[in-house]
Amino acid sequence: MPEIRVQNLRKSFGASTVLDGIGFTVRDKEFVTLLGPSGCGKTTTLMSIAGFQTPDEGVIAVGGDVFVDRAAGVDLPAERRDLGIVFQSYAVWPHMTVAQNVAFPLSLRKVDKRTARGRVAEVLELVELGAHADRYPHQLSGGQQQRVALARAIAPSPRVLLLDEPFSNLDAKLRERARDRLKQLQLSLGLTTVFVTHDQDEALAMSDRILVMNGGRILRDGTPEEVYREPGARFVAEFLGQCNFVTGSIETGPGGGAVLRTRDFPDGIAIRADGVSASGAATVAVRPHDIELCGPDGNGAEGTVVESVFLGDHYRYTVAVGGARLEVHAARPVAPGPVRVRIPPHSAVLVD
Amino acid sequence: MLPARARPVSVVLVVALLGALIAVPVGQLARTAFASGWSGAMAAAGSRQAVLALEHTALVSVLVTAFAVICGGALALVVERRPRRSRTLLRLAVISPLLIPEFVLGFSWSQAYGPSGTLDRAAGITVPGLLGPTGVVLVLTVHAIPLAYLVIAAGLATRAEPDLELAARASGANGRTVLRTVTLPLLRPALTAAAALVFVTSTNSFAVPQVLGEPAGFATMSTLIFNDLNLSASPDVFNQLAVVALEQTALVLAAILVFGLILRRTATESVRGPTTVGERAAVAAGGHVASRITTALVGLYVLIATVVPLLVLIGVALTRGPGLAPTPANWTTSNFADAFSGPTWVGLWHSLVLAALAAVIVIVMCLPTVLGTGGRARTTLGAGVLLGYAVPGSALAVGILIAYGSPLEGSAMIILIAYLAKLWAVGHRPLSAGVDRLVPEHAMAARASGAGPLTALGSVVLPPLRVALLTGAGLVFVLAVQEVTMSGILYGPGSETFAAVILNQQDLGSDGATAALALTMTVPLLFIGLLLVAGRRRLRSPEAVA
Ligand SMILES: Nc1ncnc2c1ncn2[C@@H]1O[C@H](COP(=O)(O)OP(=O)(O)OP(=O)(O)O)[C@@H](O)[C@H]1O
Ligand SMILES: [Mg+2]
Repeated sequence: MPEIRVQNLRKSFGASTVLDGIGFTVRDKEFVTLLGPSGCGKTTTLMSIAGFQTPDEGVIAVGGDVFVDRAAGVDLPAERRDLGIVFQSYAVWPHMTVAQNVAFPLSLRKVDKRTARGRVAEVLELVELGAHADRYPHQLSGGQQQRVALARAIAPSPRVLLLDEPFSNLDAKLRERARDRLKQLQLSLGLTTVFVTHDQDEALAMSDRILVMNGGRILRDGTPEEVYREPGARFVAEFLGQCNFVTGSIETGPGGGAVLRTRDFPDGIAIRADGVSASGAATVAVRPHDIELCGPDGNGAEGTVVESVFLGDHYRYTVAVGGARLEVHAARPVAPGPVRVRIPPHSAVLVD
Repeated sequence: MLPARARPVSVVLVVALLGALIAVPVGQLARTAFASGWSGAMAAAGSRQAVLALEHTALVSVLVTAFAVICGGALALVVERRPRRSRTLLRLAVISPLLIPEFVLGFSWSQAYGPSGTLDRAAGITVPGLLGPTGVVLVLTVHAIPLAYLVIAAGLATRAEPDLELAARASGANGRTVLRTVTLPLLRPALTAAAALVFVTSTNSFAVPQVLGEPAGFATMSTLIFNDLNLSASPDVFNQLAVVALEQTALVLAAILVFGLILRRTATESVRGPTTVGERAAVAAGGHVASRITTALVGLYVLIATVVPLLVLIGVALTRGPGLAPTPANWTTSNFADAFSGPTWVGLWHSLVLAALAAVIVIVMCLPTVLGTGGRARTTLGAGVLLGYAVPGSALAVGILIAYGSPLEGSAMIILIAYLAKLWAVGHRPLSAGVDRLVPEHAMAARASGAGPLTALGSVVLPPLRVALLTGAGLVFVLAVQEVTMSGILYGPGSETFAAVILNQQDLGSDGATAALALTMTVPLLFIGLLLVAGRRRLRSPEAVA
């Protein structure tokens, strides 16, 4: 029952703090994604788990084994952690064939030759590389190399699979296929997985849980739906897709729920959240596709469509409402000029 | 890069130069060697002296190659995997022996660690066997370690990316297994290339065997040729020398062939992706204690290899009379005054002019090869140019003497020809590396914008090559100023070079004056060398081209 436990990781390089108290757990067979912008410390966190970076403070344990405990002076060498890793560069050894690459971790675990050969064939079949076993890496495409790296990582049935932006060197089409394949493998093999990416779609599509990071901290920890719908922080809302922000002051509305009062929306904006007890200045986030536009005679706030872009499956409008500009996605065309803008009840969430 | 029209002209030009500078001298050398037929050549090659020289040369080269590749490789592995900040100084420390002329390194070692050298008198410390085969191998190894280091470090950077090692660690391999199964196999081509370079360099080396071997009666092929040529003018001796010189050339070429075949076998294609964790690996590779220890070891090595010998050299240059302690009471400038009497100033002037001319002409000679040819022609001609560097200086000098001696013997001109033949490759390498990094579209875009071929060359092709051009010219200059094998053979009355003057001083046994001259040569060269090291770094960094 490998469960990854990470507590209070801290790491600085000189004056810059790269990890500022990272803590999370990953349950058995769970797929957890570290999502965040470039430089937020994702790789540093992953490499600390892998054993290629020593945090200044903190504890990392998998199952019953403590990998790192700075206070107790424990730091298990990487080769004794029994993990599978896929690097962004794949790091497929160029002097070994595909089969040799995959067999290497098995030979280090003293798996006997016959069993190893069987396992290599089995794993290569899983990643659909059975026909390429005797090729050298330079005879493979980027996508195939990526699969070799994956096969090599899972061949010894490691306790935990770590992946650092494994798809970032693939083109868009391949990336989607690779994503599906990995997710299927993870589910069918029941792999406990930590995945690093800065691509929100990738994170939303694959994860059981997403940890949104910024500046060496975890800002939000939840299922994809939770993180998307209730971002909690402005940064998280913005990082997971487009978002509008409206500021005003909170009051208790007629139905007892919280309402944001703002000059631009005379009726106020109903806030989705139980027990919002705060009052005073606040900001809410609204997704562009939650906002409704209707003709100038409808009800809602008065606004003006100042820009419209056709994007195939929807239109993107920029609407001026009072002093603010809102981004609105709509399925049907709207004429430029005056419109009414409505924010349906409970599509706005409070952020800080 | 030049328009297609210019290509045939360039090829003809380069072939003609290769013929005149390398093929004709080597051909004349062979003709002279076989002047009295196959049997005569065989007899000369079988003479006791020649056989011994061949054995000594081969022994020295094999040992130096083995030691230098092992030490250079080990140093590259520890130094190149350190974090960037602490790497720069360590690198400089490791390559420092290369910045000192070979002759000066040999001489200062003998002054520092030799019998009745400074350390012997001060503390009774000598390096046993420094005068003789042990010393020759030792000092040549010290001089060759940086060469091996540079080649292997480049191989590490391009082939054994840290990610590959981290992946092996993550697979469960410990440090030693990673080295055996991933790092060393990937480095095989770099190790082979380093071995080839060191083997050729030590087979061709002259100054160290002359300074440390000759006094003990230990002759290599280079020193045998040089000393016999100076002793005797009889045609018989000359023919015998030609045989030895030809043998030496054949030894080097055979070695290149063998290493080339090994290289073809060991080369595996590399695959490159962007690395995720490059710098990190450096941090992860060694603990703090290990990195302290390597720093200490590298420091100790540099202290022994270059710092102490150079300090001793300064001491000897500044001290009155041999055997006196280098204390302020004994300080004097008279060694410099003595040293700069006679033909020294003239020699210095000759050397500077020759080196400057060689630098400029070599760069001009490189342009048709690297810019005016393409594809297979460029590779083949480039290989010819590089082969010119492999021909031993002593053999090349004898060949040039035979080929062009009748009008030019004893003139500075013949020395210049020898420099051009030998140092063409030195300019060629950085330039062709620079051209390889050029983006052909840049010249096309310039042409499309309306620039003529020459304008395009001057405005977008050459400017990004500036660093490469300067590096090439600088290297040629530095090597020409310290060149002593060929100028020692080729100079005549009135055309001596600075290096030849120093060699003569040393031969006369005036250590103080020799040290003064050696110091005069080394200090500016060290300075230029440091500039070139900085230039090399820029040459490799992408912004040098961008
Ligand atoms: N060895 C190092 N020395 C100094 N700073 C480092 C080192 N390694 C990482 N950093 C810094 O730590 C910060 C976090 O790096 P990290 O690689 O973890 O980011 P990341 O989230 O993986 O980013 P990306 O998405 O670009 O890969 C960055 O600002 C980086 O510059
Ligand atoms: Mg990263």
